[in-house]
Amino acid sequence: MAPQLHLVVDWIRCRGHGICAELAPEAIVLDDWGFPMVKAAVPHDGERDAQRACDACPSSALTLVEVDVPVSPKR
Amino acid sequence: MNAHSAFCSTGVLGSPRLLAGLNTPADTVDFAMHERVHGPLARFGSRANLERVLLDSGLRGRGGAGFPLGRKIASLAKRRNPVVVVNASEGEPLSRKDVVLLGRVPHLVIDGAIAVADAIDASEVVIYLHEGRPETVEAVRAALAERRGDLVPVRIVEGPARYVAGEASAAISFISGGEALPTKKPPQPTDRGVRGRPTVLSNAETFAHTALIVRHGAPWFRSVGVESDPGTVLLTVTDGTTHVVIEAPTGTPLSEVVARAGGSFERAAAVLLGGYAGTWATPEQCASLTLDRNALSASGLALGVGQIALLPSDACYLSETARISDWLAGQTAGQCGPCVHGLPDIAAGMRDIATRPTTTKAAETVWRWADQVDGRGACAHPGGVSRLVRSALALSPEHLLHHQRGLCRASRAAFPIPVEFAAVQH
Ligand SMILES: Cc1cc2nc3c(=O)[nH]c(=O)nc-3n(C[C@H](O)[C@H](O)[C@H](O)COP(=O)(O)O)c2cc1C
Ligand code: SF4
Ligand code: SF4
Repeated sequence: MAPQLHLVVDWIRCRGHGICAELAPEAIVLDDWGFPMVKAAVPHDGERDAQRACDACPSSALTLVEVDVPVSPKR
Repeated sequence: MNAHSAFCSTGVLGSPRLLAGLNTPADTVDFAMHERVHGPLARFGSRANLERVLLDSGLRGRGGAGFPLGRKIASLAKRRNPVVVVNASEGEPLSRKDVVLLGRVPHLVIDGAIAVADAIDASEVVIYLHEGRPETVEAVRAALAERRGDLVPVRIVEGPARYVAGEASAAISFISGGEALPTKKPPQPTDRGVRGRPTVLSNAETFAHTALIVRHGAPWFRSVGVESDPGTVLLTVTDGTTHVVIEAPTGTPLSEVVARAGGSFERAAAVLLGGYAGTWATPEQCASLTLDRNALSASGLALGVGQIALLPSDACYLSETARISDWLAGQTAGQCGPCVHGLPDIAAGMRDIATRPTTTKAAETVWRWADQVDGRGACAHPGGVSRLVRSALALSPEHLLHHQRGLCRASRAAFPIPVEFAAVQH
């Protein structure tokens, strides 16, 4: 198992302000209605931006969570 | 008779398990008959044994996703006073299998829930129904009144007659005294469910199979069906007007199931598998399919809650998809942006495609929206709409082109839009 950072949206809280996508454009883009689409795993050099996006969200709808993903035996 | 009556025809392929004891369309298996057919209720004895037997049986949930019940029990938090919830809200408009179970063999469902509740030392069993089916509520009430000395108290909770109210976390919220709206996950019900307690929530049919597993054991359960999803399964075969519930071992060819119900793929314009949140298939495709959840999902199809809906030859699957997606959009619980904004746009786009000449751009746009909303919400409702719409757009490039040129003449609305499931007011 290797820890990986994922952005998770709480859809019931998210109001589509879109601030997150401005702060972390590498990890978050907006859909056709202005709601965030997050990339599966946050790359290491994007962690700072992702954390800033979470902190700036006016609805506290965005969090960074550490998930354990199985490492494939090939790697 | 009400359109949701339990007294629709039933049929069996192989030997009956759940439907044993039913002969005529009006039969109800009362408690005395139930004990004659199945024998008295046995006990799992312990939580560890419950988990082991269910894992050995390979029983997978019959509420749509096919999650193994044994694994659900294994993940149940080990705190005191857990709760067992029987999800019998059956919101799929064309499904009748749970209504048949609760209306006609209710003791099997109750037995299964009690057997699980007893083994995990639960404080109660809740049977979650919805108020749009009063005759089912009556049938369960009558069945409970016949029983004596149950090991765990059982009560009925009537949720609102809304599609999303049948989603697990919505059911739990309602049973806990809140609104029947989905909540975010985690926490999972097995950790924090009814009033914060560890909760085992499963579909009515899943519990009915459990009632037989506790009596006859895991090897008996596995003795029919496919290895990856053993046992029998209930299917509603329908043309939108009449419904027949068939019990068949998994692995059975779909064509045999449909034939047993008196239908045939040949006369169908298209086939909707798995319900309104399911997938369209061509009759030719269906002719070679079997009741095998894994094989179906490998070909991009879903059995969902066990439904085979045959679209009559004078109807059009694109028009049906437009009507169904419009209804599904209206069933949103109104909480999550992509669902609230995306589903109505998808439905409107489908209506355009179905009813007037459009360019390929229109189909591409609906496809993009279906991709965008998929998996983005507190519950899986948007994903159901995506599945339906994408399968409709992909079913036949020729027929889509026909629509784009304004040439489809089929105008009959075949599948019903339920009136008792009123659109939610926001
Ligand atoms: C929008 C929506 C509606 C649902 N409605 C029902 C329902 O009416 N009955 C049901 O058993 N499951 C329904 N489900 C599935 C439940 O969330 C849950 O997965 C299921 O009841 C678990 O049972 P099982 O493990 O026995 O399959 C619904 C899910 C969604 C996303
Ligand atoms: S900033 Fe917060 S509320 Fe706004 S779109 Fe992003 S996650 Fe949603
Ligand atoms: S995804 Fe849709 S139906 Fe599900 S909780 Fe969110 S708004 Fe409600």
